[in-house]
Amino acid sequence: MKNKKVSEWSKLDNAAKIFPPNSKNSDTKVFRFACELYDNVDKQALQQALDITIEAFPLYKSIIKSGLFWYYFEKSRFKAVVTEENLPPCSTLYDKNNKTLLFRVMFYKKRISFEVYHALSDGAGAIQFFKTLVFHYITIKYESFFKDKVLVLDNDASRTQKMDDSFQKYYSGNRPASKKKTIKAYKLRGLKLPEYRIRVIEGVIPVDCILAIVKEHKTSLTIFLAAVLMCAINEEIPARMKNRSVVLSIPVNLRNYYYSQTARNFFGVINVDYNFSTRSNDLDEVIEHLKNSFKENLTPEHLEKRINTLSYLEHNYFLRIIPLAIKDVVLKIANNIVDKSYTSTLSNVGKINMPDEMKQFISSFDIFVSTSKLQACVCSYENKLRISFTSAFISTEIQRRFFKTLADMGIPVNIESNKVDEE
Amino acid sequence: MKYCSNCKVNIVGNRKNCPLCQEILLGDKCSDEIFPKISFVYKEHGLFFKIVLLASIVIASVSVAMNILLPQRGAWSLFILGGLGSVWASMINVINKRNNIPKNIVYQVMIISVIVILWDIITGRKGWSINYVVPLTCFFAMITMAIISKVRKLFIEDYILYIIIDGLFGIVPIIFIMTGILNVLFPSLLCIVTSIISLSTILIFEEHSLWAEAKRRLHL
Repeated sequence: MKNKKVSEWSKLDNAAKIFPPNSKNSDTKVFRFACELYDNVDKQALQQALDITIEAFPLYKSIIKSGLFWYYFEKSRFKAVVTEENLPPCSTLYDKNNKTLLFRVMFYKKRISFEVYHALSDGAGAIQFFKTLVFHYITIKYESFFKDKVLVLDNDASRTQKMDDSFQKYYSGNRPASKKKTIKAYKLRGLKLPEYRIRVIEGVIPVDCILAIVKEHKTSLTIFLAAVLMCAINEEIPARMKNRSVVLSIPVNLRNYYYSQTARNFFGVINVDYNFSTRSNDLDEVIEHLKNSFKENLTPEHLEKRINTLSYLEHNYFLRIIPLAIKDVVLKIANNIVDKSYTSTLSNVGKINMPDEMKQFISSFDIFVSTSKLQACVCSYENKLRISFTSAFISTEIQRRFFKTLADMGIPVNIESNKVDEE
Repeated sequence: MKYCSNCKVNIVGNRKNCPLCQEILLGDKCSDEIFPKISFVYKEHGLFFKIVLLASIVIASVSVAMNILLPQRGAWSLFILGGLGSVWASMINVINKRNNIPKNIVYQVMIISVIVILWDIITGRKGWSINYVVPLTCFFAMITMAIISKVRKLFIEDYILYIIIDGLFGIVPIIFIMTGILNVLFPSLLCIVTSIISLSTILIFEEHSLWAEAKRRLHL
């Protein structure tokens, strides 16, 4: 009898479970990495690079299906095809009535864009895929240049390591302690863009310039940017709302705290808050306060508690046998509550490295994410720091104040953005 | 690169106004935009859909109004509302699930069964729904699914679940036969036999796929 191949499947990791029921047109839970090159992108070479890359990341061949109790990834036979960019940034990737792969690769002039559905991976995981893709693209496109050179990407994780569900691995089974009271967060309001479009405004800044300023304030880059963003938001709060705190939600890459090379989700979130009605609106005061909050929140005990709180729910037998349809409703409500607990998000993906020989072909990297409010994502490559704001609002006041603050400190800022208005 | 004197930042691209403050930009050197221009689509439903929707609303409201004016014949307008509701329930499912035909068929069988049984009960329990409609719908669904899966060369994991659900559903008429509430046996027997054949086929030839699918769909 012939041996039929049964298609592979795997569970969604702990953090991924929240995404399928909460993906909608207004917030698609899709994020994008882009890489700007010095030459125009060659479609064929990119397709070849993609074909090689996907073999090293088996999970990226999956679609999401729903079972009776949970969603799961099932290996699909769809082929990933490179297209010229023809969709608004972060368009829907997961639609339960129209199954597609959970990522897409597009190009426009000198830029390669890679969009991923968040259930598949977080930023730190997806960057592994993207770096591999860009790596292969450049070696294929400039084949003659790399003829006698042996290049390696600083990415030695095996296929199993990349498929690893690190939440499972580091769940200690301790019952979480009761959590502290949540603070009433100020909620951004305003007219939104039509068709659930998002506005992308990116500021490109020389790393050395901003690090010098950060040093002057005796802090870290993430805290500095968070403080500037909080002050920019504060200027927008109407007087009658001043008693509410500005709360920034900051995703933390748990790979920095636990050993893991997974290409799937492995992040936690910390919330930091500052109340401008009771405290000074001086930047240094905000920085001082944030330093303490970061220190309190980023202890190993605190992070472990977070992993346990989330995983505890997943491991609870009673909750596991609740049908998916009911879980969906509960997860939607939970998501709404979480959404109300913060004003905005700042995510620092950090430094992106490529092999030295490739640097003459790559100009910069950037990352941004879909949102129904305002989000900032930060990454750096060589001497270019990119701060990308995505926003569902028509108003650009917060972004303007944010970049104005940096410009006033004497930092040169180059602004890049997409055209959402019919200008 | 252009420059905004208000925000004190350089602006990449070929625009006239600052994306941050809308101020007119200084300098005339244009560079490439980094995003392609994507126009709004203003997605609209088709004209046919709009006409059908309006027609349903007109028929529903007029008939209810007429019924209130002429109450002698009983609440006949409720039948019209029920009919429209049934058609819409079925239509919405067809449209939403148009990309997954086997799933669409199974949902359709369920919706039609529920609707006809309700109608049968309301219109005097003559038993036509479980005598004819439910078993025959189920039977035709199984046949259609078998044909479509072959013609469209679907992969087993894309339709096995729906064949199983429909097969199990098709066995339910055994209960009706055993309890003796059926007047006509032929449609139910046809449906049960087809179900048994269809389920056995899967069990015999696709045993591996069947257990794999069960494991995936039912994992805790």
